[in-house]
Amino acid sequence: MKMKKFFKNLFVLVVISLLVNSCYKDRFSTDKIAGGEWNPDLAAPLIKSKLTMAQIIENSSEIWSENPDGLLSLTYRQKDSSQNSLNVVTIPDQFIDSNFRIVLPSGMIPNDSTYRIFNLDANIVGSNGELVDSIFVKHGSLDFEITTNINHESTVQIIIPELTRYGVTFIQNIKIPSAGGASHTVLASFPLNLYTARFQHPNGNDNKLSEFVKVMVKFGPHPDNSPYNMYVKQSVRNVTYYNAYGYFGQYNFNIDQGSLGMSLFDNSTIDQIFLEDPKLHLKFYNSFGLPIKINMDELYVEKDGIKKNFISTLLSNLVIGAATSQKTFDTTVFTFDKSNSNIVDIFNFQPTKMVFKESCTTNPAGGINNNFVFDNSKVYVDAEIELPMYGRTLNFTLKDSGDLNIEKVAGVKSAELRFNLSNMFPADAYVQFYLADSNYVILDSLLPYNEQLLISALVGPPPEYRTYSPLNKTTVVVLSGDKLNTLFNSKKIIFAAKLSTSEQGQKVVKIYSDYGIDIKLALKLNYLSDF
Amino acid sequence: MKKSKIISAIAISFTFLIAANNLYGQFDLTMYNFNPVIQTNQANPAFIPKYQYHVGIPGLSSVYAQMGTSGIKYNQLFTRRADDSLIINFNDISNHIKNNNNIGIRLSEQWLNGGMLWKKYYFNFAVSDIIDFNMMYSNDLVNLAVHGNGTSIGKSIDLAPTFLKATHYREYAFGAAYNFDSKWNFGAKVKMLFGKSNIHTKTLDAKLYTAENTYFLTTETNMLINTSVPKQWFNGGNYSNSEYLFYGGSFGLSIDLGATYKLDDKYSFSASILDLGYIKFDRNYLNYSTTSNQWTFEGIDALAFRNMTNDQVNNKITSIGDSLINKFDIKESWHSYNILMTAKIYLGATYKLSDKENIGVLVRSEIVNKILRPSFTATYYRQMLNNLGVIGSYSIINRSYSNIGAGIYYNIEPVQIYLVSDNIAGIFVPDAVKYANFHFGVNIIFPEKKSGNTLIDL
Repeated sequence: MKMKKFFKNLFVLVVISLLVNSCYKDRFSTDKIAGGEWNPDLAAPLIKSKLTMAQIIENSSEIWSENPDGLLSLTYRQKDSSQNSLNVVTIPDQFIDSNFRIVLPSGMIPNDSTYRIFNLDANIVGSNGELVDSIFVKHGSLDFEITTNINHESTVQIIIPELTRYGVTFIQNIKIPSAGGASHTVLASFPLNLYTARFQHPNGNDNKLSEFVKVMVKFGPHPDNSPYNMYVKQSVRNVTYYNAYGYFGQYNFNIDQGSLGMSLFDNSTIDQIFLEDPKLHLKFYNSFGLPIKINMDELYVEKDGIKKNFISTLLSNLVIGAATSQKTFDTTVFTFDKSNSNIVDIFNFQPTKMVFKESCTTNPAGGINNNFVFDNSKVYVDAEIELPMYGRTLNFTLKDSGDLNIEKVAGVKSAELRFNLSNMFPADAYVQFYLADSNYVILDSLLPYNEQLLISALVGPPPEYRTYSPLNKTTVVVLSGDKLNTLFNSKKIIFAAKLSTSEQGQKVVKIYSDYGIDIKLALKLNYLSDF
Repeated sequence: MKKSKIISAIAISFTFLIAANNLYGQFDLTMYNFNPVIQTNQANPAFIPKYQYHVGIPGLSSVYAQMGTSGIKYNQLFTRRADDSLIINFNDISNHIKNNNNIGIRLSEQWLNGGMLWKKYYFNFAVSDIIDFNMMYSNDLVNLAVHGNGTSIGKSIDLAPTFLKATHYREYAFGAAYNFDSKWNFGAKVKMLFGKSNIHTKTLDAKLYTAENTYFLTTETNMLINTSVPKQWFNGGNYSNSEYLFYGGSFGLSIDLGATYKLDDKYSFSASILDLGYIKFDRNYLNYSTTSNQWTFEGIDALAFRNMTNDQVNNKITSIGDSLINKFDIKESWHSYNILMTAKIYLGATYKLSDKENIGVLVRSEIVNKILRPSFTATYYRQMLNNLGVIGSYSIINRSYSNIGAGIYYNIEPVQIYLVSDNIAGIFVPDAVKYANFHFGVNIIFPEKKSGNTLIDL
């Protein structure tokens, strides 16, 4: 009886257990769990960098220079050159005509020979009153046209003792066949390559080169019709030189016009800029062995088509010295600064380019000098604008743009960008980032209007005007809703920064290479995951 | 005298009510004062049953399951939408979380047990498999997971006392109790333990600080995690159940000690301390550790990417990611290790209202990860029939005040069947409670010991 009751109770227990079990499924409703919403705020640092001026200019060393004390200068250079000396000091073609009368000795029989020697002093005439001591000929020719009525075979031998190649005197023979008594002409041409000619100046203003003409006659079957005539036309043509020594007079020639762009003032607008110590260095390198006077035919700066001329007392007296030997240059530097020119006004004009053009006059003082020229002698000019980062500016506005392609991150509801910038520069910066479409149509901006991102560090006393401790500024930008969508949809980003030196651009400052900005960028995302 | 004792009891109860925020997951609270059931001896080895002999039905003598949490309840995890679907409400989770939260799961299956009375002694033995899962987690950890670190800027997020100890072990228990005199009983139990698997975060200190303004992330970590788990469970290799279940290593020992004191006919007091011991895990061990270190992530140096090609940028980003991971420098090692068992302390008292009913109180504490986790239980027992008794209980556990428990035993000699729960609601609405358990079993009992004591006496 008891066992029966036990099993009855056990049955009730099992039924209750089954009911409880089915009840559990309902209670936990696992089949109804549809997901959830997770909405955390995630914060993390993104960037920590130190950007120094030294790093900024690292890849632009051609336009930046650093003084021993670290003061930076922006330098723009342009090099131009003159024509080389072959186009400046030229040897004109020379023409020398001579006429000889030849009488044979009496009683000559066939196969007898005789000769006569004539002395010529060829005078080489330059185009500019040159007194040439020597020429080492690169190219050129000595041409002969001999006309005679000698009715016997003859030979004309040209001997020029001061025209030598490798130390060997110029001696050339010109055979003249018999023409039976009629006047006939023989042509001959001799290259002068690698010959050196040494000239004499017996009269002080001439260039004499002694020459001997030896006429050798072999008596033939024809009668002696002496006296005979012989006309010798000589010409020296197309002479160029490896070098030439002497005095070359006053030549005028030009240096190509140069133009020097200044990127500092490109892509920027500036309300005010006052550079305290700008300089223009004109460096001339002269490999001519003669002094030259530089005439600055043009020297001006230009902005938006408006020109402003350099004015300086130096401009009237730009004489550069002569090279002292081959492969050397005379280097003469003319520096225009605020003490001798209007250069401060020139650069406060914020020019975008400088134009310069020079002409040159050799031996400007006249007189007789010892000159030399080589075939590659030139005058080079290196125009260098040096703008030390020393001064002040107000609202120096820089703009740049780039591509923007941020993939939309699903679930990001808002993003807080936190710029924490410690600024060692003596400048305030107001920055804006514009979001634009592919046609640069601005859609929105990232930062609040007129947001100051950098605060100028405090400037120390002159003459260093150094800053010693950075000032920190934190800027928080919250992106959400439409602005966030615009960020994801934008294709271009335009950066605009307005810089002013300390105290609203009224404080004179210097920029040193160790100045920098500690950049810390942090991000906080509000993320909504609906899963 | 009587009045002062009652006031004392009220004072103790009040103290526990105030401290209820710190009362954490426990087990078998109602059973402690359910004396007619043989398994009360599991909670105090000094308890001596009234049966000359008893034997458990193999596999059915004691089936125990318990789940508890001091944190969020299951139904607080979700919000029901208009279409009757449920969504996890992350934002609401932290509203239900306080510091030092725990999750506890205990499953105990007694394969064999038996016992006998001999003169003034009571001898017993039992073989059980026990799975004990204890996890603690901090409010900061939940807030970090739910809200991210963006809401804790300028504050240190401390993961302590986040802790995990999950152990499966087999227990061979041999106990003896001695009826010293009419007032005192003493008992002890020696347990041979054989560990099967374990994960134990011996050290798990971690802090995360998000700096104001810069959001620099500073972490401090110090970690030693010991594991003894067949790796084949994770890599798909073969590992036979028999090899797992019947391995004779990973040996440990523990003892239980208990005493009861009968003040007079009305008042009885009892105390026990259980599971003072250890297991040394000596197979399938793998240890993960970090040295104590602190490092700060300050962001990427963007200038390092200058003049790089796309490939170089990608490689650089990869190397930065690797270096961040390497900062944690988690080392693996292979050493056997010991774990201490989770010790439990029971302090109980009963007041006999009549020959058929008594009331009792129980303060139970366990020490987990050096944190004392107490609970409080009040019981009312009534002997309904000679072979039928019921017990009701009220417990404050897991920061929950609404735990009404009940138990029943029924002797149809030689069979004793019992079912006890500390929270009846947990059986019917497990999603809405912080604590649920049941203890069920069937014993074969032999003739009751004839004495002057009733079944409800100690």
